Amino acid sequence: MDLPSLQSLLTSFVAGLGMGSTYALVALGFTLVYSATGYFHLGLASFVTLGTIGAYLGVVQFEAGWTVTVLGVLVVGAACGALSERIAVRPVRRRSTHDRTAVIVTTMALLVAVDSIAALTFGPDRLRVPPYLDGSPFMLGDIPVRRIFAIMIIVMLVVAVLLEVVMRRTDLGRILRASHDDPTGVELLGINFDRVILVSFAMAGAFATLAGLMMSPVTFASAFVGVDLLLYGFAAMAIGGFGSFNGAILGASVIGVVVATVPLFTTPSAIRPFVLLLLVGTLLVRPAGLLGRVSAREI
Amino acid sequence: MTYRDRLGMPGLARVLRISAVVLAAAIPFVASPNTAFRVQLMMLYAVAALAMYICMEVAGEFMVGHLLIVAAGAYVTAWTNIEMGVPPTLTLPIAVLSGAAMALLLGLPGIRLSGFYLALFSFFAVLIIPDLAKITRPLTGGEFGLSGIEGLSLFGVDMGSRGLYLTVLVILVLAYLFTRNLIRTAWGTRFMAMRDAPQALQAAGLDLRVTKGMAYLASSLPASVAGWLLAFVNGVVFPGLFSLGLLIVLLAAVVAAGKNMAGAVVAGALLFSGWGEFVGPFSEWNPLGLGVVLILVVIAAPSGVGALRPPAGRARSDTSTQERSNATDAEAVLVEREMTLPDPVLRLTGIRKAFGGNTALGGVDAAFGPGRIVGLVGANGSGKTTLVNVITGFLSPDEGEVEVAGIAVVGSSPHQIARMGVTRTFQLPQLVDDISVRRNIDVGLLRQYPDPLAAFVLGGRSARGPVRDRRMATDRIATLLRLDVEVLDRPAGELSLGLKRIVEIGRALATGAGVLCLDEPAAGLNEDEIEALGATLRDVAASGRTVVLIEHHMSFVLELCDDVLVLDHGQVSAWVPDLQQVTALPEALQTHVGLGVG
Repeated sequence: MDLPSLQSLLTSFVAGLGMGSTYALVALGFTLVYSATGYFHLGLASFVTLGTIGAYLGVVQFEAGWTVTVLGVLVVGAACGALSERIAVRPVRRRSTHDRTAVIVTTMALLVAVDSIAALTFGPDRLRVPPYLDGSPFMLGDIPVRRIFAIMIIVMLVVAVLLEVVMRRTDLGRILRASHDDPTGVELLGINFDRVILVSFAMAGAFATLAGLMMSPVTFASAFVGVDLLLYGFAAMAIGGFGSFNGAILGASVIGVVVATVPLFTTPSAIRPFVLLLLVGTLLVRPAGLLGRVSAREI
Repeated sequence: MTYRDRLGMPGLARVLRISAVVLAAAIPFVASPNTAFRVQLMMLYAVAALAMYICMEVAGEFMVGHLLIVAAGAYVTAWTNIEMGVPPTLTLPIAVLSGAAMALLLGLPGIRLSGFYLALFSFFAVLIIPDLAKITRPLTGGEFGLSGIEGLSLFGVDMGSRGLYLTVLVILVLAYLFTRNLIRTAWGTRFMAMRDAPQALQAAGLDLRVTKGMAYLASSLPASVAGWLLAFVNGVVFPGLFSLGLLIVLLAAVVAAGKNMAGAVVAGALLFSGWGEFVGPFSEWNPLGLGVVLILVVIAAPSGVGALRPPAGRARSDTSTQERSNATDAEAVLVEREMTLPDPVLRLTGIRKAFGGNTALGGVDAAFGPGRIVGLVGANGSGKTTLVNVITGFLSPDEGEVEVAGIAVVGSSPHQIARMGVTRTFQLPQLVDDISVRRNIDVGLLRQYPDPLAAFVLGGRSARGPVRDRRMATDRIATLLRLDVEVLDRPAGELSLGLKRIVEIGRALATGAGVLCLDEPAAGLNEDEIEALGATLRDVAASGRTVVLIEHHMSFVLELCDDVLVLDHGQVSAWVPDLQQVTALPEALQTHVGLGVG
């Protein structure tokens, strides 16, 4: 087997960082929900589908331009995020001793239901979405960089900084951080915690939808985009460390690079098995992820 | 068999089950071959759902990777038959072995990871089946799969399509009986204890990892047999057979049924996969309908329809009175198993434990003698439970050593320490609510009197010996506990908190341990029950065993305990040996007496 050239390796590396930024957005969504509730929201993956299809509808179908499309779809994404909490999470919350696993089941059901509605409506084919930034790749040293990958990285960093500001400076952020450390304690403070949860789901929905919007020129719009992001987003969150935003970004970059470079060495079919192997390997060595904390056990 | 058993609900359920089987057996003779083929697939899915049910609902391991076990069974059967020419019947053991290997492979991460990590890992493992097939194309034929599998034959006679159909039906019935038997045997007790009371299992000297492994193996059996038959029923084995849609079918069936409802799992799997066959397995209406149903089911009954049913009453008692032992004299039991333990049986040296910045234990030294009742006294947060956690191995101290009969145990796991004869009860009783008190006490007996492995397949009949031994031991323990024998057959969940604590003590006694650490056993008991508990603990100490007692009930402590250790902010503030001979209580203890009484 021929080894790939350094040039193609570096090009894939950049592409990986670009796509990794969209995985990071999904992973941030997972982390936000996890911090607020301790649940894992598999349904967020269907928001990526929603984002790609929203991009197709806005830009191609209605020719509304990227700015209007992004704003409109993000609002829908946030609303659906809050809605998903009402449908799949709130009815189950605290109702059984295994509510964490019950939520996995309901959000998984939500995911397959939403994705199949998308497939029924838009058919099984991939719908082409034009890039949001034209122009030939610019050169970073010797490496050609596609402009949309640069945009993806910038957007993700801006979102991450904004999120950090929200977490540190606003009441919402303080409550979320406190609830991550001690969920029952926060409720004892008499805070309307249900609203905090709702807001965190809305934000997570918007993040995942943004990821779909950003990646749509690369992956195109399809009902089947979301499921991949489930694995990549979860792997990013778990490898980085549960509940850590920096960890989610770090993990997503690793996954992005892995996804982009594995096909250089072997078949693309090896990507997902390899990511899963990486995930399990990391968790076996560091159960709390790279930047996560191990919580104390109680009897 | 009583009148009620023959004509009441259990009888009706049996009639329903038998008529369902008879109806199913008639299908290949009345319906079209195509319908019969689809029903066979549905029945195989039901077998796979039972496998998932054993793992998820009985053992409480949220592992959803059973489709991968089915796939392993199916692929190995197809490959060995097509490529190696292994005759169909001989592929069965190979399929079962490869299914077991796949189950252990899937469960391996589960030993370190738990709960939702395991759920997601196994979910993703199913998701990548198509990728795995493509990577292993030379072996598995990639997306097109393996075709050209021989027809199933028995003793050289081709079974034909009807014969194959009836084989599938027989396997479904056997899988159902297997699941039901499993739940009723001691293996079921052990799996359910892992689900609801894992720490109690450890305190009974049973290794959680081994129990998990056994649960995976037990649940792999129906799954790999389903895979084996699937290869012959479908004729082609390809990745599309093991889709996300099918995973949702199985999950919906298991989640909808909930605990202790093996029959509902079968019904659910048939119903949900029937929907798929009705709209067409590759239609998008299939996952849509299932997704919606699954959300509705979980919202309506988060713990499954099993939880909506009233708890199983005393009707299905597994006691047979003629076998009840006649050893009723508590003293006799204890004399019979009197212990001579070294002095001190338990020695603590310089135990330190901090959580973050909080020092829970700041250097505790103590030594407890054999046959003593030692009271552990102190205000809330003084480190009593932490100390018991350290002694029993549930927490590792930052510094210091615990010696059991002169052997250092720090660093050993709870089940290893339990095997050395140190067991405990828990502040929040760790019981399996939906099985009888007797089976809860059995948890403590499982190490001495386990059911043979054959009980997995053959059910309780193969385990008569251990069942009788456990019954006799439990009866003697009930007598020792001054527990009404009627209570033994009630579901543990029906008991008051106080009685649950007594059942926990029963389980601790059942392990035959020499040191029993009891965490607030008298909380929630009335005066009569406290008196009975005191008498029981005196009997236990009289047999040479040591009782370490965390208790806030000060008059109980002063009346009962031989020695008292007073803890204050993680330090020993007083050690009062031979409390009953002391005329004036030390100051450190007096404050607590004030607290306790006032």
